[in-house]
Amino acid sequence: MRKLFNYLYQKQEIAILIPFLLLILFFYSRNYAMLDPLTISSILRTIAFPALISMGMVQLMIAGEIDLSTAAVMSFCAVLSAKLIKDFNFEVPEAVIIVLLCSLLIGCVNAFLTVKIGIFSVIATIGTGFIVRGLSYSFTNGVPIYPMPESFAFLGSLRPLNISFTFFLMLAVAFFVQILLTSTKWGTAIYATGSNRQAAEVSGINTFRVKLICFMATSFLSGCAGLLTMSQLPGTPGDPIIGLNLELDILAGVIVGGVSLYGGRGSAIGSLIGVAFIQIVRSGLVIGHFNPYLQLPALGLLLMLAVAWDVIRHKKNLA
Amino acid sequence: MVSDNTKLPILQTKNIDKSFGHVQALKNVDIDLYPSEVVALIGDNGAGKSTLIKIISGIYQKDSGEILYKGNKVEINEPKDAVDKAGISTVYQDLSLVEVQDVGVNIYLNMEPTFMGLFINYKKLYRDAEKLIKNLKIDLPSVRVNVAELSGGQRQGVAIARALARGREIFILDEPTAALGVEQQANINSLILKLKEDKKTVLLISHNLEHVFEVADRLIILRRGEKVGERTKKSTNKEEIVGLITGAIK
Repeated sequence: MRKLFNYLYQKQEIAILIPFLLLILFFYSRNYAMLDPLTISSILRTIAFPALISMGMVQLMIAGEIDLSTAAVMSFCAVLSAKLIKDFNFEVPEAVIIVLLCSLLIGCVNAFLTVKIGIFSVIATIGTGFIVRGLSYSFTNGVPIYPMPESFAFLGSLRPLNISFTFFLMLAVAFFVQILLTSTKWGTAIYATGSNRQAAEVSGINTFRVKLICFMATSFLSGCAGLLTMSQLPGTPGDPIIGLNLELDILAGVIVGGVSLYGGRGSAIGSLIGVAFIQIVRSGLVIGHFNPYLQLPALGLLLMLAVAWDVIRHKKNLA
Repeated sequence: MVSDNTKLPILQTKNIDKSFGHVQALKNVDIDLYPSEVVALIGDNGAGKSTLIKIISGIYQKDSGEILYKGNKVEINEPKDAVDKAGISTVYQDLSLVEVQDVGVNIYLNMEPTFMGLFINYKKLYRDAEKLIKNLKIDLPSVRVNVAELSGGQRQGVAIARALARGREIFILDEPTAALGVEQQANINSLILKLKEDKKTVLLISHNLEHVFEVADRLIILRRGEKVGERTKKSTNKEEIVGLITGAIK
């Protein structure tokens, strides 16, 4: 029994499944629509975006940094692509390439601010987040840009199994990241960087490069999420409020899924479950006939609980 | 006085000077290290031991003087240079191991054997790690346990195994027996002797004269930034060494 407890204590990605399932049952008992195929496919479609971004975030956090600009980058990339196509007459593929290059650039800026200048990544990325979110408001004066050409909506119009292209793309990325983390030199380099940077450097790992790539991957996936959101929305507007507050869903999800704020621990599978957990809470509150405004407080509470758990575990491991 | 002059020194320092502001930490320090020997660097607090090894391992830069590796001058400007240009491995007091990863991964970190350069060949990694650990006679439950679960002495052993796996020839051990129990100290001693047997060079910093006399072949004594003496173990005794350390013997 004690052994089981210890195992669950260390393997948070498995332990989290228990409250996850209980929560689903609880909401199901409030309203049988919780497990309706339509509800489930809708939840899966919603999860796809934060989960896709969390696949960059999980690597970044294992490497010991954090990115709170994700949702802002997502909105910025969506708006920028709309602006380029509508106002500057770029072809869709050109706009997509430019936008994704911009997202990589934002990742570079985050990495330089954090690693080279030494600003805490929390603060640096809140800063870049404000800047790019602000830019997307100023590009649009707050008014969504639409309509977009039909070709833009091509990927979003695909609905395999009545879910979405993004969801299956996200699953593929999650699988890929899980393999990266567990079975490649890149994976061991990330864990080493986040766990003990000096040890990583002594072993010849360029930890700046590791963090740079993680920041870039996170921003890049945020940019992809922005473009995919647009391709999925009806009428596909470039709207600056895309992904508002989503960075918190991602952060909370990743931490609930067992990634440590101290770096050096976590998994892609765990993050995926964590992000799903957050969405179950959000959707469940609505479906279970609770006041929908309780979503944010519930999310905040969950984030705090998960971080408290992380801190306690970290202290215990140090002792 | 110097042991075995027929062999070529693997590492030499010549006229090393280092000042921190107005404090001269090292004055004209020359040391020679040879293969297959254990040299102890001893001296009181502030004698310059740490400064000297930090210069050799690239953490500090010397103000003047030269470092020679196998007779050729090398510039050591950062820790990477010490490793790449002179095969120096410094085992720090805090040991620099990745606690969340297991012994095998730590030993082969960033040089993991792979399939087609892509996926880590864990089977080979653990097999090699086991061989290495066995060869060094390090007492470990398994190469698959996380470093976080190991004792200080075991960690020391893993850190040394990691350096050895990287083909390093010169091992700088900073207070390797500090904070270790008696049995673990004995394990470190046999590990040091094993390194010497394998034709490696060990430069040891220790406050513990007992320990130094057990493993060192030669002792280099620093006092206030200067080398005040160099003795083979056979030609000296603890009284003389204490005298040199404290300045009672000049």
